[in-house]
Amino acid sequence: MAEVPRVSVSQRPAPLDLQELIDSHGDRLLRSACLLCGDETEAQDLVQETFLQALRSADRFRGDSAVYTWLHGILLNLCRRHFRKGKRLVLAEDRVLRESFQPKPAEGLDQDFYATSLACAVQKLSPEHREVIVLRYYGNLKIQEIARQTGVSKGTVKSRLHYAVRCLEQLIPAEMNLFVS
Amino acid sequence: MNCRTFHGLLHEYLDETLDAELQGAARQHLQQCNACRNAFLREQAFATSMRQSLDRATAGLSLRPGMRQDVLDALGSKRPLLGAWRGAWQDLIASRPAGSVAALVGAALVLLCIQYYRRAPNEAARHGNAQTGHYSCVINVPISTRTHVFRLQGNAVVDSIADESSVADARLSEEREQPPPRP
Repeated sequence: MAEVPRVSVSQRPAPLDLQELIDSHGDRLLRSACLLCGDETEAQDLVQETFLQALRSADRFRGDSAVYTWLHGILLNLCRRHFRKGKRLVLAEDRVLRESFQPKPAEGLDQDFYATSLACAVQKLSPEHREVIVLRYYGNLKIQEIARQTGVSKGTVKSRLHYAVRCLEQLIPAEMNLFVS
Repeated sequence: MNCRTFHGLLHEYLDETLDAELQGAARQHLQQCNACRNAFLREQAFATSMRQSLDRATAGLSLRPGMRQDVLDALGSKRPLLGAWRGAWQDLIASRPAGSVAALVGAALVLLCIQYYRRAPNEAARHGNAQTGHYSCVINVPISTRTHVFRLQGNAVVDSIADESSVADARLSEEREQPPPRP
């Protein structure tokens, strides 16, 4: 088997390797991008641009956060630019979203339905609320990391999180029991 | 620590990003307060459910196979400089709208000041320039007007009962040609 040529960009903590970045973080970034923008094709393009920008600005990565967090910061900025350019889907069309979110067919149908409903409900949130939900509950980022990535205070992040959860409560089926008190 | 404070710090407590003293106080409060313990457990369960559901919803997605080569191809092609600058400006304006407006207003003020100070010497030259033989003179004269109020009895004026004065500024300008200097 022919050896795959490696592309490395020198960087202070450790050299970045494109193949390694794609293998380690590619799928997770894609899924996060898909949750943020609601369309798989556009999410693929956004992730490609994320890797591109990461390689171009590798010397600016100081290593004070995890590589995934840094990559996700780039992805988030690209998503925001993407929304500003008005390339966003008409999110009322659940059909388009459900095509993007296709859970594994072998698993429980109810759970698949709920999961897809949740992903569609997340798409109906405002961009600010959607960001914090995806970063917190999918990206598993800490509040201070979300604050750094979104450029707002920790208090604002917590407030947005609170209102985003309240909005989700209205949007997702009660049978999911996500908000059992 | 009371319940209100704990609720405000719940996320940071879950993240374990509080300083040691606050983290300890929050832990102690949790042991004593059932309501806060329930809120804490509920948030933990909610986070887990959300993570699992979002994982499940996106589990079918994976990167397209040619991604690495696409990135390498794009890395090799130079991005137009103008486009990059335009993108950077758009980002800056969108992320800091108030700051951008303030910067624009500031720039406009600086331009106005420059324009004003560039015109000032021309104005001075217009008002008085010995070389051209013209001079001008501006005199501010306050004009005081006295008002007498008379009292009438029948058709006859009896006396002046009061007087008021008002002052108005007047500006007189004169411009004339000076005689040419003697040789």
